[in-house]
Amino acid sequence: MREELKRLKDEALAAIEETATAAGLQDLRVRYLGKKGALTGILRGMGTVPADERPALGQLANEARDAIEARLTDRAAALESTELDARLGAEKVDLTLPGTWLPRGSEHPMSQVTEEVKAIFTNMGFQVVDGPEVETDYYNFEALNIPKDHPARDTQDSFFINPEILLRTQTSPVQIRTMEKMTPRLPVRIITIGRVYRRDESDPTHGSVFHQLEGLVVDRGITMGDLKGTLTLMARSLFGEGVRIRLRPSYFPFTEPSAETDVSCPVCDGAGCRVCKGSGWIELGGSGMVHPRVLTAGGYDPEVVSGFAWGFGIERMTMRKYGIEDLRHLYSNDVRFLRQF
Amino acid sequence: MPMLVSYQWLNELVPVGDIAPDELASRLTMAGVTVEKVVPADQGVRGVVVGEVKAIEKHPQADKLWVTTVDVAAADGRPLTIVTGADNLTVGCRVPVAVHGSRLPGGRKIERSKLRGVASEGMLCAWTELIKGEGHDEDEGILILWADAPLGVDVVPLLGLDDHVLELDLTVNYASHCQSMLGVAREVAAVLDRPYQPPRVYVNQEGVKRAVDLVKIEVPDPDLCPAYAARVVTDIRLGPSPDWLRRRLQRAGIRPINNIVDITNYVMVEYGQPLHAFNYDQVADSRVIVRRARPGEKLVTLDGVERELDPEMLCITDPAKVLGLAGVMGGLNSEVTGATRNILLESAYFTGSGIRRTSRALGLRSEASARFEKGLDPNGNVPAVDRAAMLIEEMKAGVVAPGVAEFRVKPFLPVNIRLRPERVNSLLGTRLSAVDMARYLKRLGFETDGVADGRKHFTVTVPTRRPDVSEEVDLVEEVARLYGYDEIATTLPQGAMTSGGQPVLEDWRVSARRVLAGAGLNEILTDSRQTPKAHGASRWPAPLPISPAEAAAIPGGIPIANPMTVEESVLRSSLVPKMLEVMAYNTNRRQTDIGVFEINRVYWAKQWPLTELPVEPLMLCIGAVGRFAPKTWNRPAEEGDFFYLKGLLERLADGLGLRAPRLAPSNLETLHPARQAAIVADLGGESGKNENGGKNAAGAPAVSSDADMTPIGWLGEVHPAVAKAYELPGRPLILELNFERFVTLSEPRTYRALPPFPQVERDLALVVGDDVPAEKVAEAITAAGGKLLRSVRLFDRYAGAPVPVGQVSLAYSLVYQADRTLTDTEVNAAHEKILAALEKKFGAKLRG
Repeated sequence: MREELKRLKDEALAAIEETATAAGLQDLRVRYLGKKGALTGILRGMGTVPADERPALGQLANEARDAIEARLTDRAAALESTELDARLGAEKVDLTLPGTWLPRGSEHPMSQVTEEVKAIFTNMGFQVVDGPEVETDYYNFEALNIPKDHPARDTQDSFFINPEILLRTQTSPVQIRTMEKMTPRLPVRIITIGRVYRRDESDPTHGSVFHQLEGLVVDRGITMGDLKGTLTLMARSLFGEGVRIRLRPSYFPFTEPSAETDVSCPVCDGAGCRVCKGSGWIELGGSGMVHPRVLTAGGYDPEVVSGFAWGFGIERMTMRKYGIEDLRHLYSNDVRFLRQF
Repeated sequence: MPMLVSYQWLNELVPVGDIAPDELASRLTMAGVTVEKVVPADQGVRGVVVGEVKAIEKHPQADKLWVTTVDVAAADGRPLTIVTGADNLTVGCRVPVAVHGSRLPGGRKIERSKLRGVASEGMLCAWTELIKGEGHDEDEGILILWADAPLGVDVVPLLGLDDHVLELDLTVNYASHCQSMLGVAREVAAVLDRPYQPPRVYVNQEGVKRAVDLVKIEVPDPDLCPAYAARVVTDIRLGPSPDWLRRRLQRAGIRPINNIVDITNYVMVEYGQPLHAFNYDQVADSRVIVRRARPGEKLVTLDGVERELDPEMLCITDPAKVLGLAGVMGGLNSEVTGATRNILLESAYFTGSGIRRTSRALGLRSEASARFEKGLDPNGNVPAVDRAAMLIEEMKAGVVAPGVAEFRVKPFLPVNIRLRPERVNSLLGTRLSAVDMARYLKRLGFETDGVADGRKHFTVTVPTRRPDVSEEVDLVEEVARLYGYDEIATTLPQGAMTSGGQPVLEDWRVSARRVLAGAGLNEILTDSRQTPKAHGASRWPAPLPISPAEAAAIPGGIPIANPMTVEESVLRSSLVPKMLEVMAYNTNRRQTDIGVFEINRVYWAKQWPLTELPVEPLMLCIGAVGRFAPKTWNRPAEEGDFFYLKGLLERLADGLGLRAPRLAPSNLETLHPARQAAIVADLGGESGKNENGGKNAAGAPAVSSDADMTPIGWLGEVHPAVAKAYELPGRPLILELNFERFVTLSEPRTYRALPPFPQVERDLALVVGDDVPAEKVAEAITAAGGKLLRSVRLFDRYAGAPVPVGQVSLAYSLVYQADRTLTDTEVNAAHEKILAALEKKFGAKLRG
């Protein structure tokens, strides 16, 4: 009986190895381990074995069963894995086909730069404020130290609705409107971004409508050095850590001292290149210390507080950022242009 | 008219010879006198030398050409053969010769060539060939140099062309005092801290009669003419000016004419003071009366045009007639001509605003009027007329009568300003001493008094030539620019911390942009101005807060009184017209599948004519045409239609966390009559208001009756007639809504704990009449479903066999959910109840 068990085990294990299908394994399981299977058949003959040999034989029979069982399981797993490999292999695709199309729109480059600038200043504690594009002569000119007959009115030729109401030529009226609301609270730290209108002929760098970034800081002890520092911080956030700010004396009725503001060319670092047209510097716009009369118009005492302000063109910043050579592209609304952003 | 500064001339007034023109330009620019560019006066002329014409022969093959032999003192001693067409040569004259390899203006290279068979070894030059634009005639012929011009020498220094011209771009405040050579020289001296060396002026006055006896000055309108001075010059001898003076005028961009005119122009450039020469013998009664014009008065100006004057214009007159337009242009009747024997030289201080008004009214500008407009030194007129008198004497152009006939409404005194050093430092962030500050100001020619460290302030006396400096803060700028803006240390504002932020509406705008770009749309940016016809063409309604009668007066939007073009002449009341234009622009360029949006302001008058500012609400506009998804290798194309547009609206509302807006029937002419709707919202009692935005309507009931609904926008397919007018192909879609109102539908996002019990999903397929709105069915399901029903979603709609004609099959997916595990019985009961309700309400049947 011992021999019989051993033979049965060897035969079963060999048969399992030769079987290549799950169904075949099931047949073998029935044949060897089933209720009417071969092992059961042998064990039925246990009654003829002397009682003292039975435990040893029983153990032998269990070992044979376990071995067959284990081999069946292993084999089944192996077969499954092979089958899976074969099936997955057959699911081959052309990996170079394009990915499934998904919609992708875009925000206008001007919006993107506007958001970037707003983030820089709100992180510095500035409040973004808003003002009307259709303005009164008072806010656009008078309160900004530009009385009637002032020569500066010539340089900002305006679009009028009527003699007292016009399209604002600058975002600076928002300075007055904000100070009027805030006084006497300190500090004032605001920016405003919006459209302004001037009767300029349209060319690659000018249009009769454009967007300005205006900033205003009013507090006790504000200096021109603070203006330089604030604008340097902005320029570095926008154009890169290495850039410098340069102020050149200039004239604006609402600031004194006044300055033209340049940033060192982020491409050539001031050496002169195609981007900065060889000058090494890129003009951002005007800035300066708020004129005492403007502070007074806003309800603050220029003997107690001081402030600085600036007004830069967003179009120019956007053109610089993306290397757009003609301002008119920004307003063309050609989807082939818009989809690039 | 930019100020042109000759480097050579400047060098006579302040020593700058050791500073290259470009370096000087950048130093000046950094001190506030912006130098736009530096132009070499030689314009690139190289290698042109003095030659002597040795022989002139007729060209054998050409009647109009000459063959000359020219000695240029060449190293090999050989004279050159040069062919020329000029007729003004004589043997022995010396001329500029562009030899082989030389260059003329603009880099034009001269080389040996053959002219009609005769070899020519260069070119003889006319003035206009050597220098472009310095006011010589084309037909002057070859430039004849002086007889002792050294042979073979470069003509550039010889002709004074080894100069540079600095082109200044002056700001308004520097325009008055830098509009002259002396003013610029003073600035340069201050910036470089070098001596300022103005010309010494001395007039011999050899005339017999005194000016005050020869002319009487009367100024009845001193508000426009606070100061007037005149000299009289007799026995005029008109003729050409000397070369040096002609050259300087040319550098300054002024064409030389004759000695008298040239002298007035020269002094204008040098002193910044415009002068005018009248024919003295034309001044009736020898009385000059400076007064406003009388109504109807006329004057023929020097340009030959008869001008009608008005009482706002200041005139120079005599008792009988008008002689000239003060500060703008003289009259033809008193013009200085070859026959003139005696002249009156006027040097006046007219107020800038008066001159500007006259020059505007007549559309007439001159070098003189431009200078008056900027404002002059009220004490500058006498020195200038003296300088002119001195030049007349030097050039023997006439005999100067002794003295000046003068009017001055009052003495113009220098301004004293108190300067607090502490104030300067606190504004600039510097630590300059009072002595430092005084030193800078003295460089500008300002006097200081009481300067001592420790004193709270000192006095600065500002000369009248600097009308731009009138208060303390102006002095701060003067100190700052001489100290150097670059020297100011970079700091950051101190003071209380503030938290930054932006208006809530701006947050909404940013989010909306993100949602729509995420849905595949491209943001556009259009002009806020448009043609008056645009609005009518779009047929879009303008829900203006004004009466119909007022609206009818401005149908295209708020008109701009002085537009540049009709295309930009009104402020829009809607984003739709530009949106249609943008779609047409793109489809015309074969971009036929587009989806774009804009969030921008429109302008609504609150009354017309305007007495207060218009409102500027923020609107949102979407335009789409063609496919919103292209056909790809694994997906079919998807064409945009009404439901795509509605889907975008729903996505937008959902993305922003707003209550879903409702649609209501509408009848806009812009849109397809059967495929359009009004976007309506319950604005919580704010519906009648016209102000920006309106208050937040949060807290209003989730479901409102239609009566409470206010239209906040419209959407739909564009009417074919409108599409055709814009040449838009296909079925374009458009949506516009009042963004400020839209976002008042905001509902705070709230969290609900996830249910621990499983949900049960059941489908419900119905057949109803095809006139039953699907939304009403869904609402009825929700109402009948009770507490257990969590959501309803339409997932299929089918019409056609086997569904009977006139009916439609609607299939909904329902989700049931409770705070326990639902039994089949419970769900079945709820489902049955819904079906019964639908049957009762719409005659709906289960689809078999």
